[in-house]
Amino acid sequence: MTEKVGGRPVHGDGAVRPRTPEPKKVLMVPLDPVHDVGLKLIRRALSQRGHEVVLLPPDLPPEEVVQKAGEIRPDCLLVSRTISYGTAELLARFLDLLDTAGLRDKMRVAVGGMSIRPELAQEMGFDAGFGPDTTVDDAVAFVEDREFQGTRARRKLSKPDLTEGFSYRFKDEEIGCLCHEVAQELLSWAKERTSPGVLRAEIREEMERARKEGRQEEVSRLRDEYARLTGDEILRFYREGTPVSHTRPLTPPEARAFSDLEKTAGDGDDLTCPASADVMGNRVVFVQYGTGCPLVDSYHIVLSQSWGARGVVHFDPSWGARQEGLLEGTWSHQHDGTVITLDNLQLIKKYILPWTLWQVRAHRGLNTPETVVLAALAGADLTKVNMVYGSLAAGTDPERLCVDGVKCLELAARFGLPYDVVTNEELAGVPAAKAFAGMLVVMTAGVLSGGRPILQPLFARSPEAIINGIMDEDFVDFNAAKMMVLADIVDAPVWPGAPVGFLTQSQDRVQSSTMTALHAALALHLGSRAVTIASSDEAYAGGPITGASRVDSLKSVAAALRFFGQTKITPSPRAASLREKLREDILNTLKSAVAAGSLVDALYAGVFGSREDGAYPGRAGRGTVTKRS
Amino acid sequence: MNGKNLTPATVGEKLRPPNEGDRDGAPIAVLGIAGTAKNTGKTTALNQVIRYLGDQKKFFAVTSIGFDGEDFDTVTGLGKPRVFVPEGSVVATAQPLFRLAGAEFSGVRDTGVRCALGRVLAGRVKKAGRVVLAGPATTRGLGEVIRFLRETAGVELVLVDGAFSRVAPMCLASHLIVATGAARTDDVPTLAAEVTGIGTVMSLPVLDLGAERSCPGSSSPAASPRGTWAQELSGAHKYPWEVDLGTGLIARSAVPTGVALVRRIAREGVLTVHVPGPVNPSALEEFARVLEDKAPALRMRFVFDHPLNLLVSGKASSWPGILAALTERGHEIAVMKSTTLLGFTLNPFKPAFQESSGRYRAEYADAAWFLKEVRSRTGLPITDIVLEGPSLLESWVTRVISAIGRCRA
Repeated sequence: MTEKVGGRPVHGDGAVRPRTPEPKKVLMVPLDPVHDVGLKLIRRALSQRGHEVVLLPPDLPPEEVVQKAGEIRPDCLLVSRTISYGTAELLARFLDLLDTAGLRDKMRVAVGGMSIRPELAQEMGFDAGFGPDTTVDDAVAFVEDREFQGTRARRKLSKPDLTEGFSYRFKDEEIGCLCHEVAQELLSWAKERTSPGVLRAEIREEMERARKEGRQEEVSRLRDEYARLTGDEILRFYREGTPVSHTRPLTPPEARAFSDLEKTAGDGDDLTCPASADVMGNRVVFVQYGTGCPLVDSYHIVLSQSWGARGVVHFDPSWGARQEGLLEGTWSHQHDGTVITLDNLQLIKKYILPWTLWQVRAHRGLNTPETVVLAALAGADLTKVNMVYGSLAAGTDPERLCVDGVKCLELAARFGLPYDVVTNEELAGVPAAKAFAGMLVVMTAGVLSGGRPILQPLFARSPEAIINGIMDEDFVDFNAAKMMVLADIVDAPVWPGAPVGFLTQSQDRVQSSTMTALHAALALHLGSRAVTIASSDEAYAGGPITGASRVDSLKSVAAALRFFGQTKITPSPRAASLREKLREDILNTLKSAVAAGSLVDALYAGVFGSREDGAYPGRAGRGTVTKRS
Repeated sequence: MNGKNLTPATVGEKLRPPNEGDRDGAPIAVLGIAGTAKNTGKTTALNQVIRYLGDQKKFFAVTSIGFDGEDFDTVTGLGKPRVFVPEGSVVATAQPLFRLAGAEFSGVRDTGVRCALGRVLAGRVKKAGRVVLAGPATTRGLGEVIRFLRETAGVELVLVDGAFSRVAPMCLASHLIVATGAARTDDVPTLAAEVTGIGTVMSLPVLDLGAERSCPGSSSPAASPRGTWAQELSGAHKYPWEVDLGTGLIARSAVPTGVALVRRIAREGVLTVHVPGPVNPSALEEFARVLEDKAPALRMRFVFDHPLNLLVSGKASSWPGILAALTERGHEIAVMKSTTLLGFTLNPFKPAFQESSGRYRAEYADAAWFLKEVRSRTGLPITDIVLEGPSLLESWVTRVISAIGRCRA
């Protein structure tokens, strides 16, 4: 059944509901001048299920309703009323009338309407309260005195495997061959090389194993060994305990606040906005967090999950990508990005619901292999790897990141962590075709390493599109062409991001939410398994991202998904020509990469993005790669 | 069937003033804190009562018929006072709210009662702290929770926090404090009239059931006349002498049927009419007027279950005039049970809605002037505990503690 109450989308899972044990007598009362639409919807559902329903005309005085209730003696009484200060008093008075008339104990009474929340219903004296996100199923379940079907369904939610059912078989053999050639060369090349990042990852893994087994002396020895491989600032932390600039340890009040949050976070049974969550269904909408404070991050995670997010992405500080080495302990960072330590990740993990996918990114910087190790140890579900993006648009030396990246692919495969291969170099100006070529090479290397990569095309108004007027007509065709060309090339999962809608959003929260929602709906309707969204203030936040903005975006996405339903979004014929052009450019990029001799050389040579495009091979970690002994 | 077959009522013999501590012999006091509206100061009064009981080392249980102790008002969004409970006290609240409490509990058990937020559990406070209260919404539910607290936790004093202007479950309270103030209305004459109306209703005399039951000719229900409001009831009545007006007297439209029923039974003398449900002042006035018109020789003794049944429909301020007029015309008014009204607390705060922002803003009447004016117009015990301090409130609580002592003795 697909119904709506109060103008909101509702449960539509088509689930077979249990038989009603016995028909109920239900009295419906719109204590309101006109608003009985919701009650009529519920009446239809109840009648279909064999219940006897009496709907009174709107706006009767409470005394008359009580008299009717005395005559009819219903099992349930459903009241609808929009709440304001005075009307809440009126409803409370109505319940007093029922109570003193001796009717209250013989019937269950619920109220529905805008502004109704369970707490307010409780305060007014009702047995239940149904707000604007209530479904018809909620009301039917209340009448039948059974647990809400949707809640049970949500309890059965499990973590989706975004890579399930994909063969990674290249449908475009020409492109597939070229990808294999570049990828195999990369893996062979990297096999003989190592870096401080690779070594630290190996030490960290061993150190955590020793810590778990209580071998403290071994932990100390490994810690010293680890410290010798770190940069100046991190070394001072390990040697002297000096905090890295703009970080501080979490304080006791913050630890207590974590404890309080643990009490309120719940286990997902009491989602604030179940209807949003229902509409999202198994479509995984990721949100990003990384305020710098693990506590605030946890609040954002709890909030986002309550409003339908099924995935969360951990953002770390940009300095973490330039420093050799990671910290230990629980740390707060005074700027964007939350410090990656095992302790911080384990704190945050407590607030992630069993069905929420958790991604910890390892796609740039000098600590990517260790990040994968920590992600796996903390229980993350996904990571993020792309040496091409990290080299060309995130400041890491290509040679170094290719060595570290291949280690990430191995580790991700060993830990069973799928990962997306992000293409945000498009935001720097790299054409989509070049970014896609790099993504396909990394994907191929990942598959050859035994991993499960996920393609992450950028759904945005990229500089390439702006400069060349590709999206002047609309924001659909180019994004659709990206999805189409990837589907033409390879049977692999796609998860657009990150986040969708970049450079289409403005400071206006309504506009920003709308753009996010339309991009997310487009991506999900074009066959992607997941999508990453920003909060409505994220693109232009001059300060902390607010919870309200997160809700804006999640609600907007739910509304857009409800709006389109099962309708297919059909791009214009222009998308097909854009797809052809993309395919041709991807092919040419890969040919150039093969001609360059290796991925590393191709990266330095600008094959996957030149300085003219806006790509600059990074310098962090240059000269640190060594041959394995 | 006529009035001569009924046991006549003799004023004075069977009526007595509201009594303290007589709750079916149970050695437990229930102190209700009701309000005439939301934001009239119930939580502030509750906190003062809790603090005073803590100072007196008097252990108690606390629950709510609504939702209280939250950070922000569920309607206005304005900040609200929090509720703190001392070690040793017992709290009955909804299961999810135990999770939110700053206080820590031991021996948490299910009372068997549900509310909109889940099962109502009760636990003893082992570490003092903040609680959010949400308890039974109905009279029956509150009764079950009180019984649970008495039988399972051995509690002698239960505090019941009210919600909005809801009073019905407070009929189980032995003592009542009523919070009122500018949030109800900042028009002093209107507010004072309502306070007077509540005071008048709460002082209605209680029918002595023992004397009534022992009246000759009333021992056999089968031999007794009875009627119902709109139709004959098949179920057994509690009191064989009564004319039972069904589920109350709340609509003028139903008056003719009720009058016809009464006239079938009696046309002269004094007829006792039991009205077990809610009573609307206008409906009762109309009932008496029509009856006097149709049966001028008949006098009525209206018996209501509880004075609070007269405060759930219509304006409380109407009652003094209506009751006085009925008495003047020879009718009598009584209740089956009552609750001792200890007094009123007055709060100058009111939430004011701002159209421009769509939000509420806190506004205050001049506290001293407000209290002086309301007090002078009512002559009832009334205090602003923020302005005057808690001494008067504490004297009320002392009366409750004394009542427990008398019951125990």
